Amino acid sequence: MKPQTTLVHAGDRQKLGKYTPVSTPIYASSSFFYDTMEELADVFADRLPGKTYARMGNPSASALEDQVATLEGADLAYATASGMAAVHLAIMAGLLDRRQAIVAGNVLYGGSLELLRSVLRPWGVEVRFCDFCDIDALEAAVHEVRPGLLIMETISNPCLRVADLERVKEIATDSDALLLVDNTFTPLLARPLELGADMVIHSATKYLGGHGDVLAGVVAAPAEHGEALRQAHRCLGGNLGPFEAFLVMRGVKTLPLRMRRHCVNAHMVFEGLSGHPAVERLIYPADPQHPDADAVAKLLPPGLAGGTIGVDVRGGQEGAYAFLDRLRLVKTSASLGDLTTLALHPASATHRMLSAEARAELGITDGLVRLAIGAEHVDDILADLRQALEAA
Amino acid sequence: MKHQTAAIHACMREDADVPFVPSAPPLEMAASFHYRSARDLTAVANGELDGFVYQRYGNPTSAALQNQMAAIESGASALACSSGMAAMHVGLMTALRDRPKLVLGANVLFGQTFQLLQLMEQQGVVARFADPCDLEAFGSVLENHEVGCVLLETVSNPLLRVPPLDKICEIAHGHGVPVVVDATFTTPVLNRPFEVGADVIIHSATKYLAGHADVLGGISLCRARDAEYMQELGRHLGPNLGPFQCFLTSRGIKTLSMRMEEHCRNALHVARVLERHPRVGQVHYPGLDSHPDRDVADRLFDSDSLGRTMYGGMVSFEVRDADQDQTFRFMNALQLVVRTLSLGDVHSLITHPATTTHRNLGEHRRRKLGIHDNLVRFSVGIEDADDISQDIVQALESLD
Repeated sequence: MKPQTTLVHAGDRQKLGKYTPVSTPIYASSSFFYDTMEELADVFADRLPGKTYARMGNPSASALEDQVATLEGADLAYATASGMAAVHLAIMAGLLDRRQAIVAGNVLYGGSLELLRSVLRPWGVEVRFCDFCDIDALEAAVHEVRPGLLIMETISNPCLRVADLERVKEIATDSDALLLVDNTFTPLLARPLELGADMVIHSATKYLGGHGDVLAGVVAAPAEHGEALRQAHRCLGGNLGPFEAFLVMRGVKTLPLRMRRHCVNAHMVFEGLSGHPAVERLIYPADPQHPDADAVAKLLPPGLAGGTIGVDVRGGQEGAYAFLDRLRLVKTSASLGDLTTLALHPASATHRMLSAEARAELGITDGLVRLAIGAEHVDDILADLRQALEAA
Repeated sequence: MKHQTAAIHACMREDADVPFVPSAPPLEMAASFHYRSARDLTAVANGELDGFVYQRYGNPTSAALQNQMAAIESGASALACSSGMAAMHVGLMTALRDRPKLVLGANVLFGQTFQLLQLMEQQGVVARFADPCDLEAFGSVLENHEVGCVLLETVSNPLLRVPPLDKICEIAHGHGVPVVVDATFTTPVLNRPFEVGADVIIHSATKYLAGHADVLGGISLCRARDAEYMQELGRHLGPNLGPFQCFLTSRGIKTLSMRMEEHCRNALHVARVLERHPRVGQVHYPGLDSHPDRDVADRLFDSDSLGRTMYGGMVSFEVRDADQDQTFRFMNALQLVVRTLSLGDVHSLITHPATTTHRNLGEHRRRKLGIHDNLVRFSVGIEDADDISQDIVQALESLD
């Protein structure tokens, strides 16, 4: 054979011997090869397990999917290109052959609000926003809209409200609607499927990946939703790449350690900033004064309330910006769930598309800064926050 | 600038404030970008300042690939997506914005595209199908219905018909209807659909663009008037192509014009060998005199650097008088050619459409379209042409 031939074949498609790699390889392969056509056709027709084409399943992504399914107590999971691709996939699968109507939490991550308002609504899906912490209002909205699904976050972004998941589930069940729960803020701490959620969504960019180096998402669900998810995933093709799947999987291995540190640090930052003269109000789910304290106690382990704190800085946007600009160790960034402590001004970043009135109504004040507490030593975090607050 | 040049240069980012330019785009892994001033972050998020905020909104690696693709397709805007299907979904939504939700599709499309249209029915999208090689049939649907957009492939999968894209664009535009075209089989090397009027171009970058069987990816391209909405869909739906995949695709595109020329030369050689072989029934290849769309291909497709028209790297053919078992026997006997899905890889590979890519159409519809059990779709690689044809011939002869 000519070199032009051998060079595109040599070394590839070798069978592994009796050894098994200890960590899952990065399968940078778009398709998979079988000894015979019969095997390939059987795999394609679901008569044999296996992989055919990366969009329909890649071993690196599958390994992560198994890992997250275990984390969430789910039968299956689908890894996606971003958290928003996961939200989109869960909604498309959830609405399959159901009424094209959604009742959604009124305080959600800005990207989810945009998907619901700017894409799905113009494309014919009825969307009603509602405060899930007001169970009576939710019940009335669901009764009126008769949605195909309800969507909420375990801890709302950025106001850190916590709805009573079991009550919400009862309302969803009564109207034969599915319940989708975004668990991005509380992996490991909350297991929404055990409380009745039909699908759990993660932006794996945050705590699951945990290192600020990968964009990814996951949907986990019990087997009954497997076929709908599979169909929608294959058509929408929002797949996570194998390199990214590898990094998320690597991150999830330290998730328990990291979550504990994030939570403990957050608790200490909450205590450390309590009563600070430059702070108008602190929002933290484990605060005994939190308006949803009962729901928090049902959803989360004692004292482990996630790594996010809202700090309402005196002086409105001016005060918040002065505080942010004085931070040295803490970085201003739109993400969260990193090892690095991150700060964000929701009113001008994630929730800037809402009107000032809408923001005020939801409690997203101009002085509010969202802190995603990192895994540094808490003394260093507190020292940076305190010196920056002096400017406010 | 010619596309061969743009492919090599348009992915390099020359920042005004640094004196050096990296010879390859940076593999930027960051999920988000930190700012020293909260005002700068806000300004960038609002589009008032150039920069990156969060990977889903854009990052330096995907930007490099998007610039490169927009340059070689002469398009205003490109969006790198996590798969060809993700690009198809975004492209269709872009074309259908504020328009009637009726898609006039080619009667033969990639199987999964049919299923995507079915999924989009949930949001009220309706699809009608007609043969794009029959302009009268296609035109009459446009005449008699409020069509939202036209959807076709530059070369149809798997029967390799070549619809007259230029004329279809003319007719569709006469009715004010945008044209979405999947150009995966032809790539910008054979034909740049914006030049003949297409409004949205879709690529499965998994195939020729990346070209090395190591990437799942897609690209959606559009004209300036749709750019904002397409990019907005990308941000809201989040079907991002990861930075590693962007990097590999961009790297692949740098050799695209050389690879495509070789794929096409080899495919013509293989098609001619097959045409003469007694074990082979019908051969579908746009470069053969016997192909019904040969003149359309001659009109639409570019010549290679030696001045010979390129007809693509895909050849479909029937194993003469074979049933599925015998067809599988032929495929199993191949030594060099890889039995798998996908196409457009550096290595030759072969697919059985009836049990894989077009399995979900059902037997009745497949038969009606001419996708028989003895049809194989052959993606001709860049190996030596004689090595490829010898492998096929020995496998055909093993049936004796």
